Amino acid sequence: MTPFLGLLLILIITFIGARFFSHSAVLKSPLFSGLVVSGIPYILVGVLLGPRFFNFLNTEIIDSLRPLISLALGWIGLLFGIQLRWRNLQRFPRNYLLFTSVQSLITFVIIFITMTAVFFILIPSPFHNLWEAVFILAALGSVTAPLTISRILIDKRVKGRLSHLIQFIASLDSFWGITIAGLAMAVFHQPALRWFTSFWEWILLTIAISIFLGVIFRYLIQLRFLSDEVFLLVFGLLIFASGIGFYLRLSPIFIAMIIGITLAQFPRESEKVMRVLHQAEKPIYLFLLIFAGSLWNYRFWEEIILILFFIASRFAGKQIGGLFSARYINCAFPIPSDIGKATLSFGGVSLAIAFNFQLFYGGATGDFLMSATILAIFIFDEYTALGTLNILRRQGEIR
Amino acid sequence: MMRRLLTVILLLIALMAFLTHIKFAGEDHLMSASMMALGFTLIAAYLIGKTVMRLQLPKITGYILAGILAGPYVTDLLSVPVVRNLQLIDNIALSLIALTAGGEFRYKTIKKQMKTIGSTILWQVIIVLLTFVIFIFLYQNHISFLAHKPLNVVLGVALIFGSLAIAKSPATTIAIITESRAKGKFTDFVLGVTVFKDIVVVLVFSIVISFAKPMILPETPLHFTYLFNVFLEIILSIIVGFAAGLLILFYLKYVGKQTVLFLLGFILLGIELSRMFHLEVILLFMVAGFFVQNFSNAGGKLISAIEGGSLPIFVIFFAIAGASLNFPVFLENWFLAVLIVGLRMLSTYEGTYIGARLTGGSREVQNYGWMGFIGQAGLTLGLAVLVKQNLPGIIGESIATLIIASIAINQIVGPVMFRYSLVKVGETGVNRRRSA
Repeated sequence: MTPFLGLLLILIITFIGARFFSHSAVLKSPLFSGLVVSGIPYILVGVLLGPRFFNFLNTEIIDSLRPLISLALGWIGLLFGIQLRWRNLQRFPRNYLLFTSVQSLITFVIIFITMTAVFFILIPSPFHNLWEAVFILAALGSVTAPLTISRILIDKRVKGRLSHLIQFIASLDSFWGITIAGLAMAVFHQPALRWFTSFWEWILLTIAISIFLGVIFRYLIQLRFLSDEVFLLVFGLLIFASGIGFYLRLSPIFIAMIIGITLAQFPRESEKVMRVLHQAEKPIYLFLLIFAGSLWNYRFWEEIILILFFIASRFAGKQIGGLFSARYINCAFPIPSDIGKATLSFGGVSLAIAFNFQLFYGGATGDFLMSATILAIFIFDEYTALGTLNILRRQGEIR
Repeated sequence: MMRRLLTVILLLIALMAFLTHIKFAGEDHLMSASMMALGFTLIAAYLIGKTVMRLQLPKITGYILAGILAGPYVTDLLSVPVVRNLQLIDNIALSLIALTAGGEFRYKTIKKQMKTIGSTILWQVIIVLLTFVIFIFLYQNHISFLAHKPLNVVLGVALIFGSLAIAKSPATTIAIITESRAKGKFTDFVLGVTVFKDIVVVLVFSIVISFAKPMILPETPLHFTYLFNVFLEIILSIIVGFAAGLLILFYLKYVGKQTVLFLLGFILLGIELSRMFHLEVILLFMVAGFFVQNFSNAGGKLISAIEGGSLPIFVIFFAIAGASLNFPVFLENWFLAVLIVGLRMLSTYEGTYIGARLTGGSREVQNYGWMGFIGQAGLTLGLAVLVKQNLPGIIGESIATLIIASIAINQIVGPVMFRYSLVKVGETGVNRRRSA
């Protein structure tokens, strides 16, 4: 099979998948919401198509389609960033943002400390780039995926302050994960032959390029363009930004997110961009899942204990983060101390961060990060669906 | 607006120049550099296209200029390996363009002009071939690789030059028609000639190369395997094209959603099948588009779906075409290249004029029709490569070099002339709005 056919195969699956996603009545059942909405079936399809089983998507094809992964990562970053309009955020109760950040950062710290201890003391690991791996793992672990939660809230027609807060957390705490992972990639960057020899220069470069592109794009898109022209420009911006990230080995998700945040502050322009981004949201997510499956080079027995530590530390992190925030941050209504159970959902952005690492560093460390993320999606999503339903029922927000 | 566009273009160029100067030790950056270059080209080329439009030039001239400026021979923002890597998009672009060409071909409206179209193609072929045979004979001693060569070699080379001069770029025609939103009899005529000429060019070239090869390389016997294969490929491409059209039609009728995504997948499949079974990919998709337009009422849907997703493809295709233009080769052979371009224009004019006049073609077609057939790009380049493969040695090499040098001029001048002719006959969207 050639790269063209490989791409075609993925296109067909994502195409059918996207249609199934929007039409299937089965997905509305709470029993399936966690399992299916998180995209696990697509990961399994990817595994079957990949080198481990039928080898339709062999290593060569996967390698030649890497720019597309980078593009998809940029897409996710831009889509997330463009929703972060400061004025809109100010409309929510002030402490929501603090609550979100604190629970996310506590999770990060707990995973970071646990995995550092595991990697460096308990089970000295054979992996390379260990510090990078710990940072990235903790960053992606701190993220809550919004898909499962949104599905429950929509399907059950949930209304109430707690569900509102949970949705807010799930929509926004990716910011910290993406930022920490993006900065980690800059910090651990190898020096260039000329210029940019220290880590702070790389951090500055990442931020400067992103803001620069955001400002230029905003300046440009203020002009009147037809819809196909806007599509071309947004598509070009995404390829350019993702390409810069890929070329400089800086996180395309982070770069695109900063561009998105810059654009988001200008509502008229950001709306034009948002319309384009939403057109391909589902196919891109499914494309990433299939790729994740085919790239998943698992070594169960070598990795399983490490992964269990990661899963346990994330579980603990989210519980402690939720508990601490619920107790010390006043959101003007009583928040259950086990709110952490509702923020365990895992998926898109975390997978994208793991992909980013795999794309740049690869090797056994990259494989481990992918395995940890995919298995965590399997475990957490079903659990979150049930946990969230329980909490919301208890709080009387589901009748 | 102009100032803002120029500012953004300059800032993007500065950023790209800065980025390409950051180098790392011992890593292969081709894939990532290509991706970065693709994004840069897409935005910068489109903005340059939009800027030159204000100077009454077609947008695709802007895309080509952007490619030249960013390409390996001017600023080197797009290096040779990066350009080569990006040329992988060519097949997708050409297929989409071919589908548009077939889809825009409405037999009902064109049928009245079929006589003129056929006669124009016939006379173009005759006159262009004759002109080049005469020119090469007269000029033979001034062409280094032909000086003092025997008659059969000169005749063989002359026929090859002639057959390559007949070729035109369907992509340029379609892009100009799409961007100008051109409609009318003149547009139909150019489109009709473009669609049929694509088949004729491939056939004429195959016949010529079958005869010319033993003339130039006497040790090669005359045989028609090559011609037979080409003939078979054409027939097979037409059959598969009809089948492809049928599938597209079924999809448009019974599903009809996410058509752009479907077409992209379908094109990838078509390219792969063409590669496996040696089909003519352009012909295949032209026939598919033709089928949908003329054997159903779904043609409008097809065209609007293609138009919805074709802009980025056009921009990249022409920018890369610009970046691929080989200027060192052009500079080395500029005089002969200019002569070839001049002769080609003259003979195309004569062929179109006679062909149209003999069949009662309109005055517009007689006087301006030839301007639609000047642009040359991928197809001619592909044929030039085939010449090099079929005629190993200095002669094949020199023919290819001269043709590549003349493509550089034709590709820049062609779109401008075609747009000029559309404006002159009043068939662009702007013309129509004004007259309404």
